Amino acid sequence: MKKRLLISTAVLALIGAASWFGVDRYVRTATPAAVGGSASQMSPDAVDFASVEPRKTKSPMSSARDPISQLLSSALVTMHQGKPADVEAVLSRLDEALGGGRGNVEATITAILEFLKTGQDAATGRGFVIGEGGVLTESTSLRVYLMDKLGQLSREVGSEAALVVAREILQSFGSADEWAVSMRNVAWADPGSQEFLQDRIAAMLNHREWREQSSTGMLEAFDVIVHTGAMVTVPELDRLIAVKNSPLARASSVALDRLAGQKGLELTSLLNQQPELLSAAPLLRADLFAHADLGVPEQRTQLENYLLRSDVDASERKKFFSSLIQTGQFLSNNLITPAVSPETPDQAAARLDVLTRTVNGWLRDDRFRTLTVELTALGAKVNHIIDEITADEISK
Amino acid sequence: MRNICNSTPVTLWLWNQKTLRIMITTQVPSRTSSHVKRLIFSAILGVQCLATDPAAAQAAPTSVSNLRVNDPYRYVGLLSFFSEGAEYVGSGTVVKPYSVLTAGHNLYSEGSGWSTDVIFRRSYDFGTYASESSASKLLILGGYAGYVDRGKSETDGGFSRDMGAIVCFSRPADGLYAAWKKDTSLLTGSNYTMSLGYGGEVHSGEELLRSSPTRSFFKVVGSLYENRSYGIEGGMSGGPVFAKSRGKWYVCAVNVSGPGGNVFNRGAGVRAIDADSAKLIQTRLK
Repeated sequence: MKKRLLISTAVLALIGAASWFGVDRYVRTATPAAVGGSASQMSPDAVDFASVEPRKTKSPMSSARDPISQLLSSALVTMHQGKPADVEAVLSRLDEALGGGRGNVEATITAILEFLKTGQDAATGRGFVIGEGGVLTESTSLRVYLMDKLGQLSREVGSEAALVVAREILQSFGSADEWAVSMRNVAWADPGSQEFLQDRIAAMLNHREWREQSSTGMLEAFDVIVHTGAMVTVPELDRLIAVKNSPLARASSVALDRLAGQKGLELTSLLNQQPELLSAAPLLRADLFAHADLGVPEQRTQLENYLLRSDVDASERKKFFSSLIQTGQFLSNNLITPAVSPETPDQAAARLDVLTRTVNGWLRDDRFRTLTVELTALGAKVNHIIDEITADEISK
Repeated sequence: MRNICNSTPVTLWLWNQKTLRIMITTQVPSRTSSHVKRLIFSAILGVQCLATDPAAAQAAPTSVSNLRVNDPYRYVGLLSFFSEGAEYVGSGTVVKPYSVLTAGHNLYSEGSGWSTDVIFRRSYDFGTYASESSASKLLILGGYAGYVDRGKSETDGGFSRDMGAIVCFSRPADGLYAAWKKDTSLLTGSNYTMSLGYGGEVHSGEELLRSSPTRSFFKVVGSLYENRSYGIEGGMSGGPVFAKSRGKWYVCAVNVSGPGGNVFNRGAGVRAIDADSAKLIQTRLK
């Protein structure tokens, strides 16, 4: 009996060790010096990049690759030690060495591929921060940092290296931050990847472990929804919004808001076709409809259908009418989609003009007779703003 | 410039309204304990005396309505808006011909989305104001990974992103605007600084208030800075922190958080103008 117990304990210990060194690697990489260089500490995303054929370079490969490989090894050691100033310094050296435009880019790509192939990793102690053009200004791990660089370099020379690596990474649930940068790399390298990316972002949203402990990279990956115009994710975003005080709820509301701004017709059509969507968040739904362009007949028709819906109550309509005058916009650097410039004062005045004509039309339209009081109130606000603009014009 | 005109006073909120407290200092009630705790720990941080200024430093907000037509006060105004069915006020500063800088939490709420009927009344004082400008666009400086909304994101990390702006249909100050600077040393150094805004938690919310720290700000996280030598009150959110540098006033931060109530020695949180927000002002605001 004792012997059987001993064997069972040993087996359990082995399973525990295996899961520690394997499945849970990403939990441990949250702290510096957590990822080692041994085979047992390889990333689950470590894949055979045999399919990524390094391009032949004119200069001897070793001349460019060796110093970079050495630098990567040294960076790994420094990051394991976890001293912020040293990590900062080594990242600066890497930035210098891996920056495009100088040296042998293709050899650098090869060195990065070889490093990624080892599966070695270390936390940087920094965040997942996106700068202009979707380039990371901070990366959470060395692998994320290198994938970001790989994406940039591949784009620079028209290599498919980053695309191949990214597609491999996106086959298994390793690290959400790696997924985020991989999806960006796919979007950059393959304009026809919409369907693939929609499938992957849907998979990401449904991955329980990541949902429970959402990383910043996962939140930023919501930009894939906007990039691909993934209406298929709207029901899931609706569910996530209902989770109070959740980072995923916030990311979902931002994604929906941006979808409304960029795919107004598709989103409003969907929301009208499926009235249960966002029925628990009617004021947010009002904002989404208010993003639609009244100057586009198809979009105006969707707004009219919305106004005539029996499930849209007075408070939601009031929010909608007010939001038609002043719409909101989140400004940030995004993983894939470019920042959209806010409208100019002239564009705002033109939008107000369209709104004026539309409201006048609705006031004459028998279908909206029951909304006369609300439309008159909206008209009064618009008139007040027109007076405001006129007075300002006179004072110029 | 328009003359200051009599006008129907905007209907302000009721101060006993629970939500009001949450409004400008939405974050205050649930934030107080950790905020105070952190401030106690931070008491060991070195601080330096600030340069004196003719306007004597006041830890608690006091009325400066008599100065509201002077520089730099004349660029500050009352921001009224609706959110979740209730009317609120905050504060803002004209920083571009058509644009007013404010706190992000004045403009968006997680549960109900964008605020509505956002109106900026410059140099507001008991129902009179120099100009009235309706917002055409509400801008939040944040994205998928973070923004601050009223009452839902009362974390330091959230406040560190708490900045927004409105672009108006008309120019609030005839095309003039306050100078601003991306320079956090204006907060952490020995420059004279002052927070302005329309406090309505202890005061009426009908007049421009000013409070000034007697010590320097310290960095909490990201672009969130705090100072425990003075306080701000509900309604001042979004108002400017002006710093005086070489005889000129610059907006260098906006008021975003405080301990709430009449405890003006417990600190104020401000969101500094950093590289991101400087870019917002420079390139996105009209």
